[in-house]
Amino acid sequence: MKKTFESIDAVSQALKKQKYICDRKLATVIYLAFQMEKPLLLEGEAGVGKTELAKVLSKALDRRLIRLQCYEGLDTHTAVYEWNYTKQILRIKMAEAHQECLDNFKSIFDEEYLIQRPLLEAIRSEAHGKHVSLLIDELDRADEEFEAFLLEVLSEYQITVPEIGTLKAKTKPLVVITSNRTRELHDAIKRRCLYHWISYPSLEKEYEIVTTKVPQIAEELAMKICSLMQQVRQMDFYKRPGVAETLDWVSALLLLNRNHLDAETLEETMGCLFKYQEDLERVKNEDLTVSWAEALRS
Amino acid sequence: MTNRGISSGSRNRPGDFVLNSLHFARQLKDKGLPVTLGRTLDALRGLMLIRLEDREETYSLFSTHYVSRPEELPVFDAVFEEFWSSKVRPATLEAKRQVQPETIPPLTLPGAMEPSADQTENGQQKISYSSQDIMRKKDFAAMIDAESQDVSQLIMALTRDLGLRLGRRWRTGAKGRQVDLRSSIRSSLRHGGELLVLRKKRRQPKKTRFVVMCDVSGSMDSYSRFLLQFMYGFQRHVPRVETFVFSTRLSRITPLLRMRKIDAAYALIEEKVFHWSGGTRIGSCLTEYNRRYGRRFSGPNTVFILLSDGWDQGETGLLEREMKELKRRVKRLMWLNPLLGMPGYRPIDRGMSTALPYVEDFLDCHNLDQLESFGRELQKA
Repeated sequence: MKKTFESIDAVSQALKKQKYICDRKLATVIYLAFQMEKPLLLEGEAGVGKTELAKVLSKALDRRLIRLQCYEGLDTHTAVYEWNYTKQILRIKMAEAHQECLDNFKSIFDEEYLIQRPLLEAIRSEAHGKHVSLLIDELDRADEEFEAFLLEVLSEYQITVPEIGTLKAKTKPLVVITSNRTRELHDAIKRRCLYHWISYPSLEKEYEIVTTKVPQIAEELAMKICSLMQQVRQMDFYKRPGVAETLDWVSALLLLNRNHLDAETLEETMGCLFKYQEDLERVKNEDLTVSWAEALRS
Repeated sequence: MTNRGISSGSRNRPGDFVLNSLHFARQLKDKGLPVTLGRTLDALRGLMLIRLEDREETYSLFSTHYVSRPEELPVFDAVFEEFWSSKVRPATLEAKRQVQPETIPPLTLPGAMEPSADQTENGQQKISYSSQDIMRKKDFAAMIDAESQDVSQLIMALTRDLGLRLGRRWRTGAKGRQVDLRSSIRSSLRHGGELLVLRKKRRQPKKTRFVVMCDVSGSMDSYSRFLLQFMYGFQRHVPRVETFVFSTRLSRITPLLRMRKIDAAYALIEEKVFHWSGGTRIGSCLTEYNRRYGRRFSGPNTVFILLSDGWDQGETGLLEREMKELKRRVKRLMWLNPLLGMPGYRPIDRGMSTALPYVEDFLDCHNLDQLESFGRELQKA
């Protein structure tokens, strides 16, 4: 049974059930991507929930999530398919031992010897009527050549394995592409996708995220944490903390049984918010924990 | 944003809404957003999937089709706000304007790069060969406004070419460390499946990254415009490029130069970079680079390119220290100095002579020819 989204509101509700808070704008874009069968391209600072969204979407739609993590040097052998050479050699040797004819070697280029990688897996699932969602994570890390190849896959939804033939998806998988913008993606890719920039959440939204994800937290503390996060993100840090960092921090405070944010607590837990030595040094040198604690008290 | 309806009558008169959408797309295009017919058609198709009376849904529909980088969002927001609000209440348009004096920044070039009259229809300008030759040798500082348009295009062509050459994949040699099982098996089939030849493959060497840092202090005024154009083209056509401008302070402009249209990029830079045409403190700017960005952008694959005339007002000790640090952390340090084209120029002023021992390539960049030979040098690096 194919689960679908009936309306834009249904998207927000389904995601909320999975504890993902999304605003109407994002819900609209997701709905459009789903209905228009276009890939969704999500960009935003690290830790704002891009990858999380893909995971949650596939859960809400009851689809298997196939994930392709991109990195520099990613090639088609790791993204699409590879032949199982060891198995092929063994097969040849076996045939030799039994003096068996291998029928022009066609039999060792059979699907049995094919190692599926994420892209082929997604296309094949859809070709066999099983709906999946495909997450192409951090595409900006892959090389431009791979981007060009991906463009081809995303326009035809088919993959050709020379020895076997062409596989075409009957239905299009739900595709989510994320990028951290370490480099700009090519315009051609962007044209094919629906674009959405996920910014840092507003105070209200972040509060909702924190209280939904960590319901044990006291409301007042959650509010204080979120307002401090807003303030911190206004400042010029090397790497500003995202929502992921907020949630880490909240969990840490709960574990330590701290229910108010004094300078000492802040100082002890700053490692949850800042991951770079430069930022931590700055917090220390400028006594930011003291001034933040003071601001929170008033 | 409120959930106020965009147009009360729009549901009954979809034709108007479509027409308005086209006008809206046109305005976005005028403001420098990458509007294409394909995207507009897609957006129109999407109109059927949303509630037109819902402002946020309409906003999302258009922004997801017309915006493709965060820098474009403020431009989009301003046009969206103005266009769809004025369509609702034309009577109160004037009043609204007065309440909201916030205007959309005009995306024009700073300086005098106005498009000249003899442009052809598609915006491309025809340049005759003979004039191209002269242009290539002419000092940027001596260019008159009418010529700068031609030069911008030549610069773009030059960087595009450079991007193609630098992006070329490395050829896999016959020798290598790793066995290429794929092709070994393939070739073994010729010998009845006996692995006679082990094909090898060589790992593609780590790709080069570039950091370009351009001096925009007062003394560089007559060059910075062209060099900025060069940086724009360079970043656009060559992968893995980071760009900075500096004078007394340092600004990272990589995200700003990402705008699809150079005019829009210039407008953003004008808005965000305040230290234009100021003095020069190379040392302290390098300190800032090394401290804030060094970890991320400097590395054994980084080619660092400094564009500056070397007139430094800062402390030489600091400059020396930071040049040394920079040299230690990058693969190659190149310095392009437009003054090198001046007959009789010798790098003997304080700043330049301090920095020179740490520079591997000291090149000229005062005209197109020199920029091109810099490109060739880069390929070797």
